[in-house]
Amino acid sequence: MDLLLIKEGFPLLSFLIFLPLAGAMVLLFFHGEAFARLWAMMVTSLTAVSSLFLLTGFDPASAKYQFAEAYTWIPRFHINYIVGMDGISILLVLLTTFIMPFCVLASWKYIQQRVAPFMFCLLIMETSMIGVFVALDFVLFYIFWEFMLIPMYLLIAIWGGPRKVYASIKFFLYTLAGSVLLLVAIIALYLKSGSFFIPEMMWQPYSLTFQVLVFLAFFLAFAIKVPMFPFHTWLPAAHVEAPTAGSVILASVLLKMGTYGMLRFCLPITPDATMLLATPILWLSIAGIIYGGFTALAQQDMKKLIAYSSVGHMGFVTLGIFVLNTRGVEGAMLQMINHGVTTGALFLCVGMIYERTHSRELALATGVGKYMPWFVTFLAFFSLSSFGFPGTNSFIGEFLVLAGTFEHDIVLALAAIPGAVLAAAYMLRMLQKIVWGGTANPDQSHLTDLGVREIAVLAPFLLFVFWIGLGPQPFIDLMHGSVSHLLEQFNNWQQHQQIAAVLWR
Amino acid sequence: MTTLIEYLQARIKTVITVCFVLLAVVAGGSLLIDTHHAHTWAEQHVPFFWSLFGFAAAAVIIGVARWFGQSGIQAPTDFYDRSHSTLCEEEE
Amino acid sequence: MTSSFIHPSVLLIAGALLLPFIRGPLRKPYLFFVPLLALCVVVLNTTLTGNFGVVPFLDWQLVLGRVDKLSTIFALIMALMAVIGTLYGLQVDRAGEHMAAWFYAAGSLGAIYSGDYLSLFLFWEMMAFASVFLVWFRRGPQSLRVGYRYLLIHTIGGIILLAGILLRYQAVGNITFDLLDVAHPELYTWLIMIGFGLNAAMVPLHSWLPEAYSEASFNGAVFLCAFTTKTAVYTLARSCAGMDILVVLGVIMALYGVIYAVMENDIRKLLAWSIVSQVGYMVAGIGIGTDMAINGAVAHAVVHILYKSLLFMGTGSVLYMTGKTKFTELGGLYAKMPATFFFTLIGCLSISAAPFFAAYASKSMIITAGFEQHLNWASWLLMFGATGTFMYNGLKLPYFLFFGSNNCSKETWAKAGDPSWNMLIAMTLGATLCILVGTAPGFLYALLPYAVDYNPHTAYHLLETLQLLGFAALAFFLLKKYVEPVDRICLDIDWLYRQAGCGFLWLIKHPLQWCDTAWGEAYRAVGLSSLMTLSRFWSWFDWHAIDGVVDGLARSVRALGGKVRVLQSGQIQITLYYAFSLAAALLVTFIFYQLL
Repeated sequence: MDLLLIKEGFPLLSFLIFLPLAGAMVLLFFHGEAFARLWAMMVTSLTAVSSLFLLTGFDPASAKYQFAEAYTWIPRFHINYIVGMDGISILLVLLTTFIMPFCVLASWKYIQQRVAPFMFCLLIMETSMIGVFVALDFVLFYIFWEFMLIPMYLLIAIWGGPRKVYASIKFFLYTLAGSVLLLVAIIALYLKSGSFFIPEMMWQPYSLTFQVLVFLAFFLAFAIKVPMFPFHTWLPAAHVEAPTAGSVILASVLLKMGTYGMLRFCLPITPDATMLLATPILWLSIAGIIYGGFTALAQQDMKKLIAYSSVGHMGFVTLGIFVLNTRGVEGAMLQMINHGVTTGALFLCVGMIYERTHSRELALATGVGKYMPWFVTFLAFFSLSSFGFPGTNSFIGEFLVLAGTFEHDIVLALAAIPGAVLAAAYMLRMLQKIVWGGTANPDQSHLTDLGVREIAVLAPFLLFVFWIGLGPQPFIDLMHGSVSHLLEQFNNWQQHQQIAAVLWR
Repeated sequence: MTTLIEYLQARIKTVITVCFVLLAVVAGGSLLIDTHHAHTWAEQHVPFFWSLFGFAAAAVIIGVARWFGQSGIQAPTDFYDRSHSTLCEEEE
Repeated sequence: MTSSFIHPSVLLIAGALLLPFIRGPLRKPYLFFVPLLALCVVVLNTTLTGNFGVVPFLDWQLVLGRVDKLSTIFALIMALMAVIGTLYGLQVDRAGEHMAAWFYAAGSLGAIYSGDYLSLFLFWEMMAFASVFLVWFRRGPQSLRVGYRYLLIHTIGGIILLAGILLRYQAVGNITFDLLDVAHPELYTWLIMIGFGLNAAMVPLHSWLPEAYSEASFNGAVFLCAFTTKTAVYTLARSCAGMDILVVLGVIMALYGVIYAVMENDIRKLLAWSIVSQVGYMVAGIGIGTDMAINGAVAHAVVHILYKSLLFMGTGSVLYMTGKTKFTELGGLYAKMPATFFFTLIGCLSISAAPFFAAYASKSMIITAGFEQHLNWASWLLMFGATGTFMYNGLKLPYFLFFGSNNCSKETWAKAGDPSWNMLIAMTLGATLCILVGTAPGFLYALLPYAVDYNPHTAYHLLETLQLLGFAALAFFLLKKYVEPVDRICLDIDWLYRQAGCGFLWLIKHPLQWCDTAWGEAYRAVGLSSLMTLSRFWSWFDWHAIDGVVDGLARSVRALGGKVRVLQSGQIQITLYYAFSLAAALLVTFIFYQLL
């Protein structure tokens, strides 16, 4: 309990978690379309503004869990309501709260049927997403983790594209399968340590076998979520069929839950296993980066292309996490935020094209540059960011990850480079086709350029692309305390244990 | 101004005579002037020095310019366009 | 009021940037007042001495406001020129032309006031890039190409200058802009001198000048003639004073310009060659290096700006009104353009150093300095050149343009006339100043960098000039038919550049282009298609292999479920049968296990 910095006074984190839920409850009773949109906009905006107080009250130097709240819940099984936030989760929470209003805005015209249930699902998802990032009790974490499956399933199944049934069920079953093992691991840890309080389970001297099994269980669940190669095939299907807001949430936040889990659980709870299995996981990440690049290059569907690019980008994140040095981990964390911003924005852009051409086929969207100059400007900047062009946010993230990888193993870093080249290839190919196309462009003269609402949606993303790209220090400062604390403890652990870890080298 | 010029042009013979008289005056004046401040021997000792110098210089310059021009420097106005089109296609 | 230094370039640049927003009736007053304000600021700055505007930049100190007698006098004349030039072009509607002109003037003033090489270079490049627009705005058929050549040459000059600056920094360790060690010139001294010299149109780096200045717009040429070359003269005076080779180069320039000007058919190209020639005097003066020589060079620069701009204004008016610039298409214009003729005549007399007109007070200073240094050969040749100047500029130009045979076509004659009020006022200003400087050079001499020990108004000087001019005129009128303008262009060293350019282009087009095309083909055929094939394979793999496993698993589970579903038949006896069988099997297995 001494790891927690209990928040006196107003319970900000609980407020943030349950406000969207309360808002969703209201929508159960009032289901007017216009009301639903406005109400959802208000609730998400209020959450976003309130989350700013997290920033102002946060102490980057402390490694404790801040804004913590602890209440007993089910004392018989030692299940408590404990939430807290540190440097690793603050940026993710802020990402979540700030992306949500834009998702609502992007769905303003896109969703025409059953608007109130849609907003209901969005708000429930926000609750569970914020809850996942701040939960410090395993059962609480698991509840929030599973909680968002149903709304996401509904989002795809009701408001999705032509193959929505297939995609939504695939998503649901795939993720659930991984989570089942997560539950088993949680129970095993409970039996070993007698509580569900997460920080108490970190850095404990479990046996190596136990650690490896628990690690594998966690890893599988998170790897499916991330998604890592070869557990990634649900992602293209889900992204393609989901509505725009669904794709944005999926890409920006849900994927980060996987890597967050790796950082929060795999590393501190099973450090020996982490070290043992780091190298194969690193190579798996490399495979993901390169595989994602190749498959993206072959796509004709814009959303599928971006989905596969996510596989590549998250490969960089897991690469950064498992090299286990400051640069790598900070780069990975920054890349999580960057990916959220950039890929979210790219999905928004594709959504806007879809609203106009009613197709996601690249061939039907060629040559729109002449008629939609604002749109292609935004698209161009986000594409540049996607492949890590200097000056944009992804450059900083990828650079830090590669620097960390170089420190760890040069061969690994060199293997990651072709991935970056492939990223440039498929992004520029998409950009070239959309903006200019070729000689056989369809007639795009009926397309209208971005309206004020759409520009208002995209502009903040662009702002962050350049802010993080040109002045990343404030963001890195926020996470530095917690990351260095984590790695410091990791190094201490290493020194105190005799480990036959040089198996794979 | 125009009327003045036309007035003079009508009496061109008179104007020319006046000019010659002025020239004579100037040349004569050169003999009377105090030359010992001049820098060079030629200026100090040669009578009508600057008159001769002026006339000779002008004549030489005209001659040299004419010779220079006739020897090929003066070329038809489309010289560069013609030679360019044979050597390298000038893109418009 | 103790004033501190205000940089006039800031005013001009700010004025230029605001100009597009000033429209309608406000524009003409605005156009007049901004350079006037800059001139006032320069006048205010004349009370100061020393280094101002010191800006730290990286490792260095940039000095943006070095005020002393040399920079003050140049700044004054440049600012005045900006006023007159803008006034002359007041009726031009396109804001871009005025903006270019003001940026150009700002660059020049900045270069004059800068005390270090880095800021000098910045303003140097600003001048080059702004002035090229003044060529392009003529919008004639050749203007684009001429402008590009101009820009190219000036960029090369800028690079040479930069190389010199960098080498000097490496050798000396600072970037202060002061007198170089001309007695022991190093590579960097030469490079810097060549960089400055290119802008001063030293032979053989001069061909850009006649070409560009004759191709400039009618008002652009007024700016062009003053700023680039005289800023270069300033920089040479500042850094290369006393460099002996400059005497030789100056004399060559003076004579070269004379010969070409005598041959020239285009009235503004003639004036451009005249610039080459007159700058030669200034360069020679700088080369001589004594106080009087530098004084003479500076004074000549100032008066040259005055009368050359007046001449360009006059010929510019001809261009503006008739659209023609060749002697062979003009002539006899005194009748239709008397005011223009009057002002041009004043300019012509000024350049010829006629008594009481502008150059009377300056040209002889340089020549006297030459004689005093016993560089007699140089002074004689310069006098020779002065005769030539009178010939082409004092006689040929006014005679064949305003008198002579009337080669005007009907439309040219109809269009000819005196230009608008602002142009006439500008010319009046210029003419007045020319006469003023020539008759009472005292206020000019007071501004010169060194104490002046010279009086142009001696009887000797008067008679010397009168003799020279009178008898040269006599020779001209006797040999007039040999100086008749013919419709030809004069080839020059730029023939070499153009040939080199053509050769370079051929080289790029044929062998290099072939290599590039071959490489591009290889890239496309081999690289791209294999990449795409590989990508398509992985995409296929993703769907058929990985998803085949996943979806296949799902499908088999569903199939299994389908089979199991069939087992539920709804008939209770069959269900009971299965249940009891299963229970029996389990019981038997359990018993056997317990027994064993």
